[in-house]
Amino acid sequence: MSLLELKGLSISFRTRPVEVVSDLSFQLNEGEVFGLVGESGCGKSLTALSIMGILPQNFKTGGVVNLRGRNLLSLGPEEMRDIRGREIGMVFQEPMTSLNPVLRVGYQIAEAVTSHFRVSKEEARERTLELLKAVRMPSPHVRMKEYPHQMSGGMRQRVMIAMAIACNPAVLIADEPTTALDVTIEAQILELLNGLMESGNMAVLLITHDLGIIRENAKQVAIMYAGRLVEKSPVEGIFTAARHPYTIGLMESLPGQRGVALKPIPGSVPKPGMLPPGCKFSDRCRFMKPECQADEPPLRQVTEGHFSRCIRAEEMRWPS
Amino acid sequence: MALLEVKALKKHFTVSISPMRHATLKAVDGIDFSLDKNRVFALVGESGCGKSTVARLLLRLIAPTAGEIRFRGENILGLKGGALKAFRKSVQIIFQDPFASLNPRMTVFDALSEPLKIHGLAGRAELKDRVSELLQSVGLGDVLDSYPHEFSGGQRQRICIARALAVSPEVIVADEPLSALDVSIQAQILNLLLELKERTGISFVFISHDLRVVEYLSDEVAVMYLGKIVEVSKTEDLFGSPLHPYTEILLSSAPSIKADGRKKPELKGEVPSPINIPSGCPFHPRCHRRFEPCERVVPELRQYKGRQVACHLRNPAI
Ligand SMILES: Nc1ncnc2c1ncn2[C@@H]1O[C@H](COP(=O)(O)OP(=O)(O)OP(=O)(O)O)[C@@H](O)[C@H]1O
Ligand SMILES: Nc1ncnc2c1ncn2[C@@H]1O[C@H](COP(=O)(O)OP(=O)(O)OP(=O)(O)O)[C@@H](O)[C@H]1O
Ligand SMILES: [Mg+2]
Ligand SMILES: [Mg+2]
Repeated sequence: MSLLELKGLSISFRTRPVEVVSDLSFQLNEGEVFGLVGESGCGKSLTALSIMGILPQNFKTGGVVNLRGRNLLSLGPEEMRDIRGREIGMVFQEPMTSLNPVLRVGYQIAEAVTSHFRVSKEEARERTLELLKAVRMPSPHVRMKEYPHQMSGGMRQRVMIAMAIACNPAVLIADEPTTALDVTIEAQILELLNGLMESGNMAVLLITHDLGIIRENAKQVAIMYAGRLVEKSPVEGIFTAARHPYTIGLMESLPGQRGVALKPIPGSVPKPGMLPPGCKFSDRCRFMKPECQADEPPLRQVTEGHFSRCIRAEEMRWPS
Repeated sequence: MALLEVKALKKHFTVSISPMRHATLKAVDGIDFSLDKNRVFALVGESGCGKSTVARLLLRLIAPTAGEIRFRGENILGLKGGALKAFRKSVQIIFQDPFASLNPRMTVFDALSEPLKIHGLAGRAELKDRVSELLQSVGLGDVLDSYPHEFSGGQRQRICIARALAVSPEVIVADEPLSALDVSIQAQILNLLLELKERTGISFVFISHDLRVVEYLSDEVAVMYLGKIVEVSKTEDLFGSPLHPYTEILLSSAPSIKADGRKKPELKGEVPSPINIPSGCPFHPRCHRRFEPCERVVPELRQYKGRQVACHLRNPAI
């Protein structure tokens, strides 16, 4: 069942008519990981922040974000405070900017629990320990008394994850949650999340650049470029028959054999507001035809459940 | 002579375990390695095993508990005045946490032109061109007047890369420099680093959890576990035939885009803690290949077929 649904979400600057995210639609189902991949700076984190209702002041939103049928974008700050943490948990991309440097991490995790539930100090402490163990923190009794700067990058990331799942949220937004974790702990954390999804039907929005993680964990995946979805599909579809030149460009950029030069997508992303007419990827696309720069192509279904924003999607063959 | 040489390096921290009791946390516990000109030396290992602490020691941002670091033969702790300034230019760092390492009140132009000014590398007239060129090389366009908070995670990481490149250093210590980048920009930056290496002979200490990138970029890899190096090998050798059981597990745990249905080995047992390091081989409680001496005798890092490994399987304890 769909838990969270984005319908035509747009994010634009308050002071200028420039959209950073445009017409974004997808839905998160119970017990599933939805993977969101995209170019650096394409608006993934802003999308996450807008769902949480904590977008920076200089942005405004349009469209709808439905959580079990309730539009979060129309709720007031009080109502959103109740939902944040309780219904939707979030692992932020940069732990150091979201953890409080002057508070002990144990206190911060306990606070995530007590802000939504009436529990005794002792119960909050127990829960904190339990969470730290669940995220594979070594010496949790000692670590809970530490300050963020005393921890390694991956430990801070695990603290963030503990805080985000503290109240068993229905939806977890995880923005690059494992970039500082080695692959063994990463696998254990993903397993922990998979367990929470199975037992509690949690839905996860997983933002990551790691295509291996996507392949092994996501059920559905969406690829973003320049603030738009360019491809959306059940996970297998992206890896066996990618239907958008940007996605193909990503696959071809992956490092392979040593000594063989890498092939990044040529050119660089223009700033929002300076994008080409028509298809926003057209100026970097090797499949570009004149029609591509007429109207912006819609996201359309190419095969069952597999959508692409390319007018030549049917011709795409990857891997060839 | 090696460009950078690390000998018996240790960094211990004191942490409080209760209001009255303290314990020693052995973040880095006796490591040796050397880095030659024009090489990429990768450091990989479990989260919390001491990699970022090594990075900060190499830059002389923190002082070691024991051991020494030599740059061009000179102990970096003894450097003063002009020699210290030269060292600060020669060895640059890209921090793991980009946001925390950028001054929130400095524009990108200020952040990148500052090191150029300090080291007298560009006159007033050239500053702007030089900074724009650096930003271009990491795929960022005209963003000179923006502040760090106005960027995405990956854009901030690229600003830090550009800052490290600004002064044309001899060594860059790069701590997870590509972790926030999409794979296309990652490829662009890898090409840039390799091109720089070819052209200028620069060397890297490259810390990363991304084994695919490590395999592609590095010449040699050291695997760390609980503050110690447990294996050092040429990159091809390490990925071709890992010697240490921890390396083996690490390599087979990496996520892959090929759905080959292979089962990943599970690393069982408690996550080890540098506050309470197990006896004998620090890896023994979790090792699937442990045998009699492992919980008793600490294996030293020793030569094995031209490689180095700290494991009783390879170098039986007598
Ligand atoms: N506070 C802000 N003020 C102005 N612009 C901003 C601000 N935050 C983000 N931006 C811009 O909005 C765009 C989208 O940023 P966002 O952080 O959502 O990217 P992202 O997809 O998460 O990228 P990454 O993969 O690098 O983390 C970027 O171009 C960024 O420069
Ligand atoms: N200032 C400090 N005070 C106390 N302990 C510290 C301090 N800095 C680091 N440590 C401890 O040293 C150990 C090694 O940390 P370090 O940051 O070097 O790990 P890392 O290998 O970089 O891990 P990651 O991959 O998670 O970034 C950790 O247990 C950490 O908690
Ligand atoms: Mg982001
Ligand atoms: Mg680190």
